Amino acid sequence: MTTADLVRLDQVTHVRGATTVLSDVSLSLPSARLAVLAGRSGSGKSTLLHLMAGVMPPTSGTVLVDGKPAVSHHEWDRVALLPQRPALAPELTVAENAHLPARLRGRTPPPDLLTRLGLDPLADRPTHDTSLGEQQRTAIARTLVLTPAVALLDEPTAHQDDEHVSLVLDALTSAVTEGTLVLVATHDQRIIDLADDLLPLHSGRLEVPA
Amino acid sequence: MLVRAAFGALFRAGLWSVLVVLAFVVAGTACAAPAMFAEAGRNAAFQAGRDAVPGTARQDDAALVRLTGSRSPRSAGQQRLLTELRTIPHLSEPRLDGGSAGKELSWSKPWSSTVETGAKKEQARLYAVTDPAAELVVADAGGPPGGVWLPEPLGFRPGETVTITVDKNRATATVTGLYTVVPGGRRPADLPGSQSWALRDRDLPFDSKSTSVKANLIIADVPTTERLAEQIHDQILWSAESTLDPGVTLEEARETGRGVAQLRRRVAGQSFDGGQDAVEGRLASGIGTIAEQARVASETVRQRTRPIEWAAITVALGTVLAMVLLSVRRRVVEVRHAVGSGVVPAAVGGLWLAEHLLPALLGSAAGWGVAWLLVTQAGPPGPVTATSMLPALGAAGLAALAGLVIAAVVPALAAARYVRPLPPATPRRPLPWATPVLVIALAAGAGLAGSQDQAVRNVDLLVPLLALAAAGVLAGLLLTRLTGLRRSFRAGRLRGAGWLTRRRLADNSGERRLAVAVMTAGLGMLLFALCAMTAAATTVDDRVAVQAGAEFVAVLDGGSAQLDPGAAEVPEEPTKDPVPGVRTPPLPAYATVVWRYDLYSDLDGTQRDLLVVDPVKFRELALWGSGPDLAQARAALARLEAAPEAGRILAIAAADPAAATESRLPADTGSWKGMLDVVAHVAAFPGLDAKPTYVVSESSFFPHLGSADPRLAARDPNAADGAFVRTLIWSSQGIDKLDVQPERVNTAAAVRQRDIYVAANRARGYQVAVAAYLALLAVLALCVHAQRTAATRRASDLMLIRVGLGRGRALRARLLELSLLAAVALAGAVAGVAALLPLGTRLLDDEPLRLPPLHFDLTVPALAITAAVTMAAVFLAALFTTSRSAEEASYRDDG
Repeated sequence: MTTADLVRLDQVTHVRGATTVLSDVSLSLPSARLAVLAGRSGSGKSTLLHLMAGVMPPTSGTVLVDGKPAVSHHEWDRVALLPQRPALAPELTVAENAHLPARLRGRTPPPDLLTRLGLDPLADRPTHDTSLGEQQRTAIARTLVLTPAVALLDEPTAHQDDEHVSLVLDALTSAVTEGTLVLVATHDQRIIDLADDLLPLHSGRLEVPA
Repeated sequence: MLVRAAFGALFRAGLWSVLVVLAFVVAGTACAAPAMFAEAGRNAAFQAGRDAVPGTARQDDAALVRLTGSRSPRSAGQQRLLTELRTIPHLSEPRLDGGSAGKELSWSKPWSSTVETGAKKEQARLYAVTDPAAELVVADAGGPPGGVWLPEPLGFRPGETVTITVDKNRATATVTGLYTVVPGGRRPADLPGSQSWALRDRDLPFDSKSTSVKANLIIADVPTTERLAEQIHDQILWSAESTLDPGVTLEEARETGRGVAQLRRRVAGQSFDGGQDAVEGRLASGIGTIAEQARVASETVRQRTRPIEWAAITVALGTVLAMVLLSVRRRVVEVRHAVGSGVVPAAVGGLWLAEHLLPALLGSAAGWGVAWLLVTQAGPPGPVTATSMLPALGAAGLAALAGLVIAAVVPALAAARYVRPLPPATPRRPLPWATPVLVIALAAGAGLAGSQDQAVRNVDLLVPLLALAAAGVLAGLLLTRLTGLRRSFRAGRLRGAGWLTRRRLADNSGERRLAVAVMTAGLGMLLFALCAMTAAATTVDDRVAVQAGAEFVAVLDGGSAQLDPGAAEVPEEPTKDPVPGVRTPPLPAYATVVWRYDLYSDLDGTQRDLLVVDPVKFRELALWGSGPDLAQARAALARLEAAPEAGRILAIAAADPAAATESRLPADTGSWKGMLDVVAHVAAFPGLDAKPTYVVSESSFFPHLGSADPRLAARDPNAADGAFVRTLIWSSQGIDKLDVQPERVNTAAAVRQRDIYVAANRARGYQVAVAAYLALLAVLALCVHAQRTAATRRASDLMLIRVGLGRGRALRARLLELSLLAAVALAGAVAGVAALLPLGTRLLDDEPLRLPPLHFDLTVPALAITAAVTMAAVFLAALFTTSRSAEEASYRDDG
């Protein structure tokens, strides 16, 4: 592992039930990059993101973030995750959900975070009263609010119209500029075109070696 | 394939399957319990009635059948009757007795029966039993068998030949043995554990020379007695007695009663052996009466419990309906998919029926078992037999069937809506169930409060449930309003978990408000039933005390001087001064004399009662119930124990609202006229006889009567002194040992057997069982709410933990939420029951005009039990919070 590697996977295999979801995946990624996991539905993109987020350990192999096993990272400012389902707290407002990681740590959220993602007009609206696209952008704001070392996003533009896709892309590139390793699982060509590193997945295997 | 999958769905739904089965268990229990409860109640009423009959009761009142006649039991006629008696079910083998009746049939002619040997001659009469050696306490059995048994005190010896003589007729017999008699008497002693001779005492012949002393008995078996009786020309009155088997049920006793009635008709209409008996045959039995009284008492109970039973069944099936509705909501996506795949609504209903078939069968069968357990362990103390268990099983089956119909119809209707959805002209709004509940509860409560009808209508019994449901609605609304008062978070770091809980509770969720309403109603009904049980038990206790006064109250014919051989006599010249030597008859510590006068007052011209008592003894042996009114009366009695003040007669006024503000009452007993100084006004007093009653101490009252003192022995029993006074003996242990023949004896036990009190006892247990079930529903409501919200919030809760809330705070927020919901429901329940207190008397008191009044209050034990159930609900709901599903699965958008 080089000193620049922030995320490193070595021969990771993951089996769910009777299905091998990931097979012998190895890669390493430095900070301040936009890496894209591309592949069809069922190729293992989400699983790979979840392994890096430490949601579960791999069946075999190692997943290291900043030199430590991913499952040991519990700090949102180190590893932040945007899953397929935004998983927002429905009883909180858009602003409260987006700023929650900062409020829980007594930190001040970036003042323009909501504006950059077009959420200002919705700040005081309960999230259960917003559209899927608005919820997704709220979750993106929550992911980026602490400028994490690693930001893992699963299909961040799945429910966005063109106008809001550009807002999302701008937010992601800004995060990279601020030093975050942004790893996106998507089959949105617009994100793929912006990627510093493209990681195609096919049937659980990484087609291009790291 | 779908059908096959449907049958196995029970095993795939996890905790939800448990809830489904539980719903059917509840339905099965509610439907199966009534039949078994009714039978247990009937049998308990019968056993209580049987136990209340004293051992020395007349045969017409006792649980036995006694055939009497003058024919030998070996005669054809008697044998036919004995054979017929043996065919009546549930009766013991007849015991044959025969007693000498010659003297009684000799009218006024001199008649004497003696037994002698040599110089010794004693009065004695023949008596036959089936097996003397087995029925007597043998003192000496040295003689040859087949002879006679004589009382040991007479001084005969086994083996001696004795001569039995009636007039000039003689017979000889050998003494087989000697038997022991009761101390100081002539009756044969009973074997240990037996009362057979004591029970026969009434029927034993009297001495030839005296009608107040029982005869010495020459006891032999039936053939020997017949032979001897024939030789001495003595007439034997034969009897055959069978007792009802112990432990028989009411139905069995009624069957026996019908057989006895049939036999009675035959005995009444039959001549034995073709000839006329010198003594007519007679059948005496109290079995039919006891059974009928028990049937009436248990029917009274059923009338009280039937509305509760129907309420329980309705709520139980409502539980199943609620469970199915929740299931449909939970699986709405599945129903839509089924419709979208072309499955017709009827088929959807069929699949759901198949899915619920196994839970329904398991649940209703288990419910039948739970009902049996509840009735046998906590219900009336009578046995439950196949007579009711089989119909109960059928009822549980019907519950399963009803539940299955619900499980089929509800999803079918839901599917039908998706097949042909109505275009929403206006946004679909949830059903406003809260306002109708409030309105109906207010209307029902107002209707009950304003009703002039003393009797409680069946619909009035819904008032507590409606009131508590309304309290639950208000509690839920209050919770939402209070937690929503401060919506924004404080500035700075978010600490603890309260902010999250507050925000969650402020969310005006209809499902949460429904859960709070159901919890409040369930907990409130439990609290209401527990408080009602205490109130009813206390009231029964108190009313028995007021009606009976003491365990035994004997009414004497004549004055108390019959208890006191040394009583002073009424002086020849009337005097107002105390007569020297007058005293209250000395009685054991467990008995006291009480005098009851008719009292007239110029206050309003109405009649009252005056009780004259020894306050110290009265306080110890009167019945004081367990309620506040009689406790106050007992405390007031201490005021009468003080030494009498000159000229003043202190009195306690009981149940006299006309004199409530009076401290002095003009009074006239006929033998005395003066003023009573009222030191206490009480609502009730032991022995209150439907009239206002004043209580004075004998030491302060009798000195004013002079020669009219009722303790004096009357010179002329027919002389009247203008006073009507009854002399009573109040006792806590009976009056058998007091050597007095009362006119009658009233007992508290007899009062306790009044139908209305038996009914109150029986219905109480059922009401508590129903309320406990509603409390269980409350617990289930919180668990279901916890399970649903846990499942819905799984992903967001996990994310909250991940973004920095932490597992501990997330759990605390959850527990705090559940605890607050439960606490609000408990507070609503307490407030709801408190609001019902003024109506409680109307709902619970079957005799609202009887004293003392029923006091319906919140009791500490009831509050503690309800609080404990609430905490158990939180604990169980917290278990439902713990989800085992993988975190990764929560994040996937598979919907």
